[in-house]
Amino acid sequence: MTTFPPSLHLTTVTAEDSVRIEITGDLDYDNAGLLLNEVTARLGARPRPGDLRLHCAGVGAIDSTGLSVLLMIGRRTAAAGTRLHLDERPAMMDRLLDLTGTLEYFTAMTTAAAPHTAAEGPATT
Amino acid sequence: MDSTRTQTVTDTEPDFPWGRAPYPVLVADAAGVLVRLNDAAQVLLPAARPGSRLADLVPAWLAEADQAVRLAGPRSTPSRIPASGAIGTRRFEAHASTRDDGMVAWWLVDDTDRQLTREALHMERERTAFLAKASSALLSSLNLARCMDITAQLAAENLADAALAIAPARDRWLPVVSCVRGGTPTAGKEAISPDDVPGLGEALRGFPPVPSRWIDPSLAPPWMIPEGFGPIKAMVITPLPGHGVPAGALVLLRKEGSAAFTEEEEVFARLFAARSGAAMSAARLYAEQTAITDVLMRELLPPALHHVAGVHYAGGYRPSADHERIGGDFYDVHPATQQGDPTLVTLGDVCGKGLEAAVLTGKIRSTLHALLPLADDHQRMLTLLNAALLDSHHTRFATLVLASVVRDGHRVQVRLTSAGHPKPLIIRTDGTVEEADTRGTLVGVLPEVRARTTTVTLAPGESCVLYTDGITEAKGGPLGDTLFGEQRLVRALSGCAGMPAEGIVEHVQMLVSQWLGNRRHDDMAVVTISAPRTHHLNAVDGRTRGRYTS
Repeated sequence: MTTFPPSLHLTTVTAEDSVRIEITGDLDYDNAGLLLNEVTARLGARPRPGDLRLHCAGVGAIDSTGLSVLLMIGRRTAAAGTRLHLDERPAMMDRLLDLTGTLEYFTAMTTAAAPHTAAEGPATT
Repeated sequence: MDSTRTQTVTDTEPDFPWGRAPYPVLVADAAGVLVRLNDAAQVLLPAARPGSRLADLVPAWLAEADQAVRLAGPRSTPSRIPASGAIGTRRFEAHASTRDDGMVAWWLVDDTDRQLTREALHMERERTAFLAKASSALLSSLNLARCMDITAQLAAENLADAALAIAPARDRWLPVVSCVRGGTPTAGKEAISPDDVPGLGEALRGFPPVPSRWIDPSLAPPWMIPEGFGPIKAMVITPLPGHGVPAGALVLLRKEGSAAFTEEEEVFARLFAARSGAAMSAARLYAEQTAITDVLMRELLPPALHHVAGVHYAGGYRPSADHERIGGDFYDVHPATQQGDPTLVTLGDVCGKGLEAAVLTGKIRSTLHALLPLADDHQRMLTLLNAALLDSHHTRFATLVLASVVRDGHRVQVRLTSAGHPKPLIIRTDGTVEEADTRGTLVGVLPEVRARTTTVTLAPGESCVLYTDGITEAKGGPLGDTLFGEQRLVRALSGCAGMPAEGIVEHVQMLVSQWLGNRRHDDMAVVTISAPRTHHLNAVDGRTRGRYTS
């Protein structure tokens, strides 16, 4: 199997009580895991950030695995009581979120500051 | 020491002080007659006595060297490469010094050990080269049969007169590849129990490793002896150690007249066996994995569609070409259990790739099938499916379309619900293509799913097309980087007005294939639901299949 250099770059800026991650590149099967790792590491930090802003203007392509990673990030931020913001989404990303019915879910997360009341996502099966 | 010294040696003589020198020294006069020799030379050549001709005492190679030195004369520079050869069981280098009066003294330096080392090094290098060659030959194939062929052939060429590579039995048959030196490997199967041959059973169980065994050649069963091979002189069975699984056994045979196997050769055979065993077990594991994947894939492959209850269905599926990434597209048509009830059509896409995606696909298909009795309420079906798929460990989701199809006179009623999936497209008779007005959330991640169902009516000749995003996201075109896109799909479908279901599926697949060229692509699935162009046979109310010509 050929390995390609990762076509996803993340720039993390930590401010007081918030973390901003600039995403440049593709959120796809090959790369999306990088973002999840980065977010997981940030959420594990103390003090826990109140807001996580994913700056999406540089997102090139997003596939089903990319969306799956965003959903996992949504679940983890909710569990951590951190508000998730998907900022400056390109139109293509909005279309995907709209088509899959997840746009409302993500926009609801932005406003619903739910520290400590956040349930552990869906029930464990 | 004194007792071993002969009377010919007098180490007190001032002109021959080498009586006790550790290297043999022989002195011959100008006529080639031996004049003196020291203790060491006497031990080496017990028959030598002063007065005898040197040429009669020493082996030919030294006699020749002596001749050459005498011809060259005392002033000549000695040859750079000293003469060397065997005397008795040992090897010597002979160095001559010539006196002006024609006397020649020969100094013999024992280099037996150096020679042995050199030979051993040479042999070791040859073996290393052979093992390297064997490794590259074996690793070039992940095919078990080919690995067995290579093993038998290499062993027959380098280790024995004939070799057999035997794999552990899958059933009652023992796969055997035999090869005679200079011949080609022949594969066969033997219906025997490996335990009937001493050592073979243990070797084939292979784990824990057992040492090779010299077998009494007379115990070799006839099937082990290649045709025309004749009687066997020696036979060794070596296990082929695998990766924790037995890879097989290697049988080495030597003909009558060949040397028996030395301990060293047997050790070397084990080194070779380790390599071929690793290659064979890798090939075997690969074959097993392929077989498992095949079985699973067969189970997960979409069904062949036909017509059900007066409605035409056609489906087309193209998995992503990349072999490792079996995909997660699926579709099914479930006929109603009760006549007159709607047929349920499902088409969907699981996120991710590979076997994991394929397994999730299977789960979804089974769940949907089980939920068939609830097909009149798509929202409920999706809620139940969502609950069945939720898992706190991952966010693997699926998007899908549910379609409940029922024939209503000439027309076909289709209730459509999209759960986060691209909207179905409806091809009207006049070529207009409409998007079904349905939307909903994907399933498997969010605690709740919501979906809006819509009902469309298909007039005879009209079709509803369900597809996965592998179609619209096929990257290609003249520059190779453009998505096929929904607009292009709509235009293509608009030209399909009135076409039968199979025709539409084939047309879409053909256009997308052309668009893609040879590029990488995701799984692609298309299903068409068509209301057949039929004539009502009679006006009697009834709902049996025979009521329509389709």
